[in-house]
This record gives sequence, structure tokens and C-alpha cells, in this order.
Amino acid sequence: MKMERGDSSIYVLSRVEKTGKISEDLKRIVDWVSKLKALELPASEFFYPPYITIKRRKDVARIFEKREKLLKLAPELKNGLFKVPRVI
Amino acid sequence: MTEIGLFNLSELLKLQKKGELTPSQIWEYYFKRRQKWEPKLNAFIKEGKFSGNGIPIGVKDNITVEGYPTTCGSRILKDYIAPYSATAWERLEKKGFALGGKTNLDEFAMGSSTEYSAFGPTRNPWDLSRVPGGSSGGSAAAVAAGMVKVALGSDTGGSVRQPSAFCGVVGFKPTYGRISRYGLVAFASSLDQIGIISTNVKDAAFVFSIIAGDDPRDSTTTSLSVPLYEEIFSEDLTSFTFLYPDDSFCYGVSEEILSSYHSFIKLLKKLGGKGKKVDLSFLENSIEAYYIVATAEASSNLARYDGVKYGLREKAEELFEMYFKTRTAGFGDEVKRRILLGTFVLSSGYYDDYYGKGVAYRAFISEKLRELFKEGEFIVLPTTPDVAFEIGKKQDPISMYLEDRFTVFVNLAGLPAISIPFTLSKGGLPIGVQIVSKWYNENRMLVLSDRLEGEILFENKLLKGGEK
Repeated sequence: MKMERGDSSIYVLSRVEKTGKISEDLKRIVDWVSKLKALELPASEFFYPPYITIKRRKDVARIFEKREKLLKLAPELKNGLFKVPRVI
Repeated sequence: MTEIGLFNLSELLKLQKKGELTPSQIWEYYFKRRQKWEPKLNAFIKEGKFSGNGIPIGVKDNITVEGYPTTCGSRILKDYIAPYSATAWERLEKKGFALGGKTNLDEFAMGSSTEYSAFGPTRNPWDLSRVPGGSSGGSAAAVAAGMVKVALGSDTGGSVRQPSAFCGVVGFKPTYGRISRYGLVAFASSLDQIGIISTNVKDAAFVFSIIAGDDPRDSTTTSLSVPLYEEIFSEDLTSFTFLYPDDSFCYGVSEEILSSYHSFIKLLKKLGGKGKKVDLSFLENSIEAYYIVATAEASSNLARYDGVKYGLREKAEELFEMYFKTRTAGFGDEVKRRILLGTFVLSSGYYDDYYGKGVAYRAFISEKLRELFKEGEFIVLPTTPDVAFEIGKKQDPISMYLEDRFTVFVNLAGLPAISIPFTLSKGGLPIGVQIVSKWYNENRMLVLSDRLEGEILFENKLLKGGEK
């Protein structure tokens, strides 16, 4: 089966399942959870229990100038995919 | 001599120290029970092996043990061998405990019956035609049948407490952040918590004191100190306050469950508890909010199973075809449903109406609960609306989701809770009751549960060799 570019794996999954029982169930589940929409609630930040302070790891890469430079060295893109030499 | 399975962990270790029991005698006892029960129950995905003190611990198969499979009950991880151990297991292993086996579960812990496993359903040892609950059904069945001493499970919406209630064992879910999630395969990261399943409260406390505590490899663990086992039960609990809802909150609950819940409230009062009836109607939409938040996180967490990094890879000519084939073949229906729902609630145009509401509801009930705990130390509820149901009976996903209606709010707010076996139904099936406490109040919750256990004297006839 040949897939078209632009399909995400989730979309592909939903497309193939949309005629089956999963789709029927999903419609009912969406209707069911929609009850929550009727509630009047103040917008809120994400909730964490007390005494939990998220400790950020120091070794996680963040957006910084060096990253931009490194990305410039990445292989050329074609249709959203990296062009890399074929390895035989 | 008392049967080995009837000693608690602390007693077993003391007997070993005195030389009255050897590690191999203990292992042999549980091994024989596994030979008898496992062909009937299908509680394990992989058997463990003898080591250390010989006391076997079951580990749910979404918690990694180095060198062992971690399938999550899914075809997509069927051949995956974990290259590292979860912190919780690592801490138990260092204390000398042996791996009893990797236990069966609903695929990626998504389910309430352990019927959605790619490795076949687990059965309830109290009645083989019924489910053990889920998603930690393999762990609960293994402990109830005495195939392992204790088991680790994971509780995202009740997955430790509900199967424990169905199988007549203790299911303990600590406060979010108490036990490291490092090595627990993520389903909904802000709700997931490793929990403990045991035949008695003291064993749950014993394991808790070993595995809880700060872990630099999980940035959400709390740095609050964890008490030693001996300290937990030195706590005095002669007086306490508890809150309980009006019967209208328990709509749709079976008569037997409701009547045993009333008896439970009477028992709490007999033990010196001051009970207060409160309005819990603000929790009524917890289940819908839970299915929005949990599936949103699941859709993101499960994106990693694409056939590239690890696990199943279906043959294909192109990359997107490979994604498609791998995910279609690898995931079961329930997981697909939840991925699709999670993707929908996060999608542009629907985010505020669904995910935004779910998050707001979560903050709303957490604040209400914080206020409520000023009026009483514990909230008591039934664990489940009914006893264990027959395998294949619940085909409708929503009716399955409603199994968790008394447990999910605990995860939304990150609270600690415990389910303890209370009595048997007329049909001989276990009925559990649930105690919920304020954040980090596990000690007193365990002490109260232990006192209750002493009064209830729930007899696990399976450990004495009886079976239906």
C-alpha cells in the first residue's frame, strides 16, 4: 500500500478504522465525555499535587544558538524528509 | 506449622534470620502454588526465577526488569526485552527479593478486566468464569491465589484498587510522586503511579517503605522523607475523622455493595471514628474528565511505538506505510480507541472544549478536596459498583469505563488510597472498600487499614487451598 505524504500515523489509523466498530464506539464516547463541556469552570494551569516541584534535568537540550548552527549541517530536505545517501 | 503463605513479609524474613525457613523452602512453596494455579489463571506473561531470599514478587508487565520482557500486554512490544530495571523493582531486588514473574495486564494498562491483553485474559481465582479486574489483574490474581507474596501494579485510574477488590486482596496506591515512575511504561504520565498488591496491609506498608522516595531519574518524585516500616505502625490512631457521601452518590451500585458499605461505616464508628456525611456531587464528572486527560496523554505517550525505535515492525516499502501497518497490527481495539479519542480532544478547535475542560475540572476538584480534608481525614467509598463480572460480559466500552467511577478522582487529584477486602457476596465473591486520604498521609491511612483488617478478619480461603 502506498501512502501519501502528509499522513500522520494517527490519521492513517483513524482513516482505516473509520468504517468499523471502533468508529461507532468512538462517536458514543465523544458524546459521553462532551458532558464536561456544559460545566462552568475557571480556566486553570496544569495541576500537580502539593510538594512536587518538577526538577528540570540539566542535560536536556534546549533551543539555543548552537542547535540552529547544527541544524544547518543537517542533510537537505525533500518533501519534508531528510535526503541521505543510500547505503548499500 | 503455619502455612508459609499465611506469614507476613516481616515474619518471613525473621524466620529466615532465625534459620527456621530457608529461601529455597519459601520459593518452593510459591512455585508449587504457581504450578497448580497458573494453568487456570493465566496471570503471568513470563515466569521469574529463584534468587536472594526466595520471596517472590510479581511485577506487572509494564514495569521494567532488566533482561526480562516488558510487553505491556501488547503485540507491539511482544519481543521487547528491557535493558534496565525500574527504580521500584531495583530497590526490591537490592533487598534480596526474587522476581516471581511478569504479570498479565490490559494492553498498556488500558482496561478494567485484564481481558484486553494480547496474551489472553486472566481469570479470577475466586471464580474462574469471572474477570480479576484490571488493569493489574495478573498481579491481583497472582497474589490472591498465593502464587507470589506481593505484586507491583500501576494505578492510573484505579488499576490497582479495582482488581484488588475483585480478587479479595489489599490494593494500595500512594500519593502521586511517592514512588518513582522510572521504568514504568507511560500511559498517562500525570496520573500513573506504581501501587502495591498484597494479602494484608502490613505487607503493603513493608514494600512501600522500601520502594518509595525521591529518585533523580523521575523529576516528579517528591523529596519528602518516607517512614520506615516500624515507624508506620508505631503511629497512634485511637481517634480519627472520616467523610462519606449520601447514598445518592452511589447510584447504580449493587445492593450487596451498598449494604456492605453501610456496614463498613458502622465499623469505622465502632473503632472510634467520627463520621460526617458530605456532599461529593462535585466529583460526578470525574470519569469523563479522566477519560479526556488520560487519553490525551496516552495519545502522546504511545506515539513512540512507530516500528522504528523498538518493538514490532511490519514489513513495508515506505516509511509511512510501515507506521500504518505496524500500529494497525500492533495495537488492540481499546488502545486504538483511546489514541483516537486522545488525539481528538487535543486537536485544534476542540482543545479548549475538551482537554482544557478536563484540566480545569481536575484543578477544581483538587481544590474542593483540599477544603474537604479540613473537615475530615479520610473519605470512605466502595471500591467498585459491583462484584467481579463474567468474562466477556461487558462489551460496551463506556460500561467498562464506569467500573472506575469511585477510583478515578483519586488519580486526578494525585491522592493516596487503599482498597481492603471487606466481605464476601452471597455468591462467594470478594467485596472491597476504599479509604482515600489527603496527600502524603499514607502512614495513618495504613494504620487505620491495619486496624480495620484486624476487625474484619477477611479470610482468603484460596491461601488455605480452597477453591470454587
